[in-house]
Amino acid sequence: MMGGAFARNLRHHRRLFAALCAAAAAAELLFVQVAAAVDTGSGFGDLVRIMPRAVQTMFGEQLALASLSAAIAFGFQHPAMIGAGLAFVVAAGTIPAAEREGGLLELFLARPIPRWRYLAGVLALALVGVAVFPVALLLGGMVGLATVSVPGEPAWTRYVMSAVGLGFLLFAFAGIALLIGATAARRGPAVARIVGLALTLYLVDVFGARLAWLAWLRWVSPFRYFRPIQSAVSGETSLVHFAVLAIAGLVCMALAFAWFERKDV
Amino acid sequence: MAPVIAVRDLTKHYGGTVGVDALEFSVERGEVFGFLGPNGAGKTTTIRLLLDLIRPTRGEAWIFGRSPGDPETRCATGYLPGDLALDERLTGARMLVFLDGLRSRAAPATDPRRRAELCERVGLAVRDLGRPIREYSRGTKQKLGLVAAFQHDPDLLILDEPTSSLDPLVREVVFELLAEARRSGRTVFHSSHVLTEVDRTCTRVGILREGRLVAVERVEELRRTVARKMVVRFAGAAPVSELKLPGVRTLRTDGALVELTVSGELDPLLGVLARHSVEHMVFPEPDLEEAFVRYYRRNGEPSA
Repeated sequence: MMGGAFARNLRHHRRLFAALCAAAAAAELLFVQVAAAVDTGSGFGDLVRIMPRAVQTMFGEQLALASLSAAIAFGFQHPAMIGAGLAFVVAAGTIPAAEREGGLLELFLARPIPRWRYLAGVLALALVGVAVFPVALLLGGMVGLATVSVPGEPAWTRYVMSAVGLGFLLFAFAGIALLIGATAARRGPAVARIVGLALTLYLVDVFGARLAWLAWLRWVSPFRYFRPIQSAVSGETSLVHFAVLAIAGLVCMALAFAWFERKDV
Repeated sequence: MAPVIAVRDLTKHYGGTVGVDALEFSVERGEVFGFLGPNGAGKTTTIRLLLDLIRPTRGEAWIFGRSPGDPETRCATGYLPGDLALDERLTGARMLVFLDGLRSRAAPATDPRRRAELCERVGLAVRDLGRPIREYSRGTKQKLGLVAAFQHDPDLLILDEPTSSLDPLVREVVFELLAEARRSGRTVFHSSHVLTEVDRTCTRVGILREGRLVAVERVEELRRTVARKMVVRFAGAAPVSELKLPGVRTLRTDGALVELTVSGELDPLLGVLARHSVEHMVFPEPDLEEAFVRYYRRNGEPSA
């Protein structure tokens, strides 16, 4: 069943998946082009200096890293890019809720299929997104870098760990989406819950970095553990951050499987 | 031999609402067991419990002596849901193959000739099978669901309202398929609220009311207990006093014409009729519906 369900799920979601990956790759390519244009012009330092103070305050530590590498790596952290990656993970993770709502789940689970195997088929699709979406971004960056000529611009390999980080972030959200999708009766409310949660966690990370009283809450936000710009600029990668995201995803997935096993469908 | 379906104290509560309560029944091999009840009586809840789609609050169910969730059990079961949902993006042919592929890997795949034969019998043309399911009418979807349930010749068929949305011709085919299943020793659990259907196909019936099983009887027995209507026109005056027999109630007398109901043994009444000259008599087949309605009178307590 797992193979059959995975193939069926992939077939049904292939257009969405291809569109999101293509859009993300094209956007990253554009990021590289714009960043290269800025860098060959007045440079990032000047750009930061002419920014209004409010904007400088808002971006804070990010602007300290203002450079071509940082601008390219920002593509991995852009809310629209993360949103596109999450869109696929959420679409995949909420398949059980959609099939429960439509009645298909009943038809499938009345067959000799262990529930865990059905859910594994859904998870496999989400993991395809987790693995392929960051690679698509990286490819966009590679192509972009190949088409610009900026002196001193490092190789595309500098952004590999940014892509890996994005993969871990999406993995954590794949777990959250699966947990909510496996326990919900309808897809609409499940998607709303996941999107609401993701948005809240994102804002907690953004404002937690600026508001001292909110800083402690950043620790619960997966976005706190995703720092692609630092990784690209300094070359330092926090394996602890990856581990936190991986554990969060795995715990949610384990809960999803345990819950789905006991749940009425 | 262990029953194909055995249920003991099977109870399902949804919060404070009772889905089914303390069900006890068994279905033997080769039986076509009718599960009767109006909408909301708990028929579908029972089926979902039998398929392990929902978990009981209390009690147990066994299929072929095993837990309902056992893969081998499910492999030998064909299921048609009452509210059939199919993957609208697939073609009918692909859906049938996909559903067949969901059975255990160890189980042999359905013979395509058997599938084709079933499609032909229910009137699913090759042209229909090549179209996406979203283009199907409700009746065509139901036909596809029937083929999916029967295609692997399962030992147990669980059918929830199998003839809904079907035209009379296809309904006849379903009755034939059920009769064939019974003849070949397979077991059918047929949930319905259409009494004529159950009357025609089933050997025994369970009557469900507000989640409780109020009766499990053979169809003939159920019919026998029904107070049947009889209209008799005698050649002379009706022997009213002689008709005062146990189980016989005179409804109306009009000279030679008598309208009465009779329940239980017929012999005493036939003895009276034999002693008189009868011009005309109407004595229709016992109506299962009357028996069914009887169980729904007076808060479900069967009337005497």
